[in-house]
Amino acid sequence: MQDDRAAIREFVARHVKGHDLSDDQDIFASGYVSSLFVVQIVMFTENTMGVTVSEEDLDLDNFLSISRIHDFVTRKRNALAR
Amino acid sequence: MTKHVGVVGAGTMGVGVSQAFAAFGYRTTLVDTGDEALDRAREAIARDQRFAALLGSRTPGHRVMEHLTFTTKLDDLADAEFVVENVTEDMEVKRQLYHALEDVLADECIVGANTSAIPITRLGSFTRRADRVIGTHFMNPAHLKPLVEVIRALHTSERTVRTTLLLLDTIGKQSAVVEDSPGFVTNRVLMLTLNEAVCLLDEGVATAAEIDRLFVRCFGHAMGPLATADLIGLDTVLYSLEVLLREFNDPKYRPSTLLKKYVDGGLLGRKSGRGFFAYDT
Repeated sequence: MQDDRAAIREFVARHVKGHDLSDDQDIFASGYVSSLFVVQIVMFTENTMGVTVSEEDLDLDNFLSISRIHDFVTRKRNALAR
Repeated sequence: MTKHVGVVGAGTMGVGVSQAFAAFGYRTTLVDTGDEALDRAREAIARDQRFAALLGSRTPGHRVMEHLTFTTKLDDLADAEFVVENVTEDMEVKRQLYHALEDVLADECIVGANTSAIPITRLGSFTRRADRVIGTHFMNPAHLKPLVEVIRALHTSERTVRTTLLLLDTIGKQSAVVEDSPGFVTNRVLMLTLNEAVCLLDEGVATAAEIDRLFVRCFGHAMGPLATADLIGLDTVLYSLEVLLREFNDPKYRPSTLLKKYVDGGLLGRKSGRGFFAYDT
């Protein structure tokens, strides 16, 4: 869903203070956020995207970039729809 | 052999310190003056534990809550062997607490003061157990950080130092022992750095994001000074600078007016959802 991607981009951009990151850029290697930002990303996917993040989903790989977050959200939505 | 650890003050540090002990099976009692603070602490601990593995915690299992008791009664620390004090960085608040603890604690109990800048020798003077008062300066988040700054006050006994180092070792913490001085080693340097970074922001020399990125990318810091201030809590940073200013009577510790403005306006950093950066979700 394009809306998901836009919302994720907007969320990430807000926290890197307008310094544009590409969709595939590692958010945590950018120097704009600390490793603790992953907690906010997970809360965002739950509270705003409405996706349930289980214990086994709590893997940094799922949240490394805008594309990874989008893939994760899409995968969870599809699993739910099936 | 320590079995029961008391943690007084359920703020940012108390939340981390109580998890650090509970994660290693110590019966841990977290004390604060109000149920509201304890409820917030319980929520914060549940959230931290959920993310602990993701953030690199090596602590075993998920039984932290089983070992934790939340209470408003200082009396529940009567059989504690070690108490970590994390109340607000305010001399009068600390003085009253140390007086009250004196009536509750067992004779042999050691008090570890987790203060940002107040000299440990002064805190010891509020008690009748100055030989059993020591500085245990945990870093935030306390359950994740590997090293504790341990401060030997004027009257701290060798036995107290040994017992403290041994206890910290059992919760997977290394220690660096330093002598007593306002702000110790860490905060004497850190608080000045944070304050100067806020001054740079206030003067428009660079944006908050760029100030921090320079430290992260050039100096390899895990977190820039402004994000660090947000993590500590801007109120605690301000109180610490005020303590340093008073103790050294040196104007270099004069707090930035922007820092004061943020604290007045309730922008306290991560714990309030906004400081120099936003922490909304």
